[in-house]
Amino acid sequence: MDASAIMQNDTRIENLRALTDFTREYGVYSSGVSHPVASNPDITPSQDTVFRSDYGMSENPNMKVKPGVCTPWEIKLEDFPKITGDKDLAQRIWEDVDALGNMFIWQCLLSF
Amino acid sequence: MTDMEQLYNERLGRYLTAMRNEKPDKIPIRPFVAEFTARYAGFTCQEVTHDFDKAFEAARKCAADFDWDAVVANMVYVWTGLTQAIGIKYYGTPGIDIPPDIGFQYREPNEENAFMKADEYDELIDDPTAFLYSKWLPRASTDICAIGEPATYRNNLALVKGGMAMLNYFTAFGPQCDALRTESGTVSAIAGIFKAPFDIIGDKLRGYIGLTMDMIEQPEKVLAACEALMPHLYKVALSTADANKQVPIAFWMHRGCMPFVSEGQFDSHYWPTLKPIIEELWRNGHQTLFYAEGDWKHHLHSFTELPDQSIVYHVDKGDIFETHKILGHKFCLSGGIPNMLLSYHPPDDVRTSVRKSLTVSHKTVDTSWMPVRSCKMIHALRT
Repeated sequence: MDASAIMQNDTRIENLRALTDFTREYGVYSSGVSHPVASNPDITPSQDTVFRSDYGMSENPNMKVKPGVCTPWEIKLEDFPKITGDKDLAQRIWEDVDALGNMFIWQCLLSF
Repeated sequence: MTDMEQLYNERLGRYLTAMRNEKPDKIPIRPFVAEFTARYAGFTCQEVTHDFDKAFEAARKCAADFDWDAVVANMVYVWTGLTQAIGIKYYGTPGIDIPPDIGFQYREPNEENAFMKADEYDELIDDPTAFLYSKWLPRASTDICAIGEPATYRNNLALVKGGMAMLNYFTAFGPQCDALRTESGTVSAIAGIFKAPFDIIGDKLRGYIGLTMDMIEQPEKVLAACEALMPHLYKVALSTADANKQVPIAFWMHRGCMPFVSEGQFDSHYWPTLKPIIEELWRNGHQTLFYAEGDWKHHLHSFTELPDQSIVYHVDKGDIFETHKILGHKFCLSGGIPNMLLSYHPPDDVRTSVRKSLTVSHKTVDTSWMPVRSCKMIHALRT
């Protein structure tokens, strides 16, 4: 139960109280059963779901820069004449922190 | 287990059951209360928009005082302290740009000042992330310099303060959700953020008028841009989704429906670049909440192409009964109680609307979230 759109400060308190109380009193299913959270914790496709070969984003073309990335490690690597230590560690940390820069700009676009 | 934890589990179970389009013990109440929380808690819109601690406090107070199953941790989502730090120019901030008791406003630039120009589609398509940093952000901000311009003190500060402010804000949501759970047994209703590629181009890049012109003059470029945005928007949705795969990803639907677009444009651009993302999210176990702002009645049959249970569909201006006939057998529905009633009519009118909503649903179908055959409400209607 919800209003049509988000409720702003023109919404009367007594009206939202009425919506709540009326729904609580009469919105009851005598034959309804809520799944216990512990036994059925998530909402996922049923096991017999068949995903077509073209389902979802499987057909998406290759991209120059992958999602979640600003500066690919391969580009950053050109800054270093030679990595003397653990290359995998260097790459992992670069990519983890680079992803934060990616998150910042996409959150700016989407959330703000 | 504490009483509050037991209450939380009851509500979560009820909420999840309904979102599966199954029949819970009661209809879950999940109001999207935004600036209403300020009114109830005694704050101004400026206070809850510009000081997120107050917004969080107001949300918790409402959750504690009303018997609601789930709420959004902060539905006054845009913290203008953050947008101010970055210098974002498209918000009207309460108490600064607009009166303190008006909710924040989005101000779309005119066509000449769109944050993306008509001839920049190739650059966006080539590397969307680089385009956002190089072109979009400098134009959308009063402080951030364009590439090639001399850097300024305010430029550097805007980026550092913006990043730190975002970290500060997002980090506060975990404790806020915990507090809702422990203080009032209330479920955090949604997680994550998603918008359609087509809407992003209209809302934040070209503007609605610019996009409309582009759909006439260069529709193939618009489609390519939508396709280029798809994996990025999917990535954000997936990475911000509920790790427990319980509550849905929020999808705010703006101007992809008729009459903002033609039926042909919906079919050629909006839907083909949206549907695969929803399918992919579902493949990964995440429901999406279609917050269908406006009236999407012309497109409901397209939404039936999605797998059962993969979305929760929220009705705004649409007819919830017609919507229920088309989508009710596949998806949980929410919404449909007119805001006009809640704002300007007496409580009896609200009760009548809620009762009608429950009753007509009872007469038309037997599915979840609205009361069905043995609902106690029916007894009340006869007395």
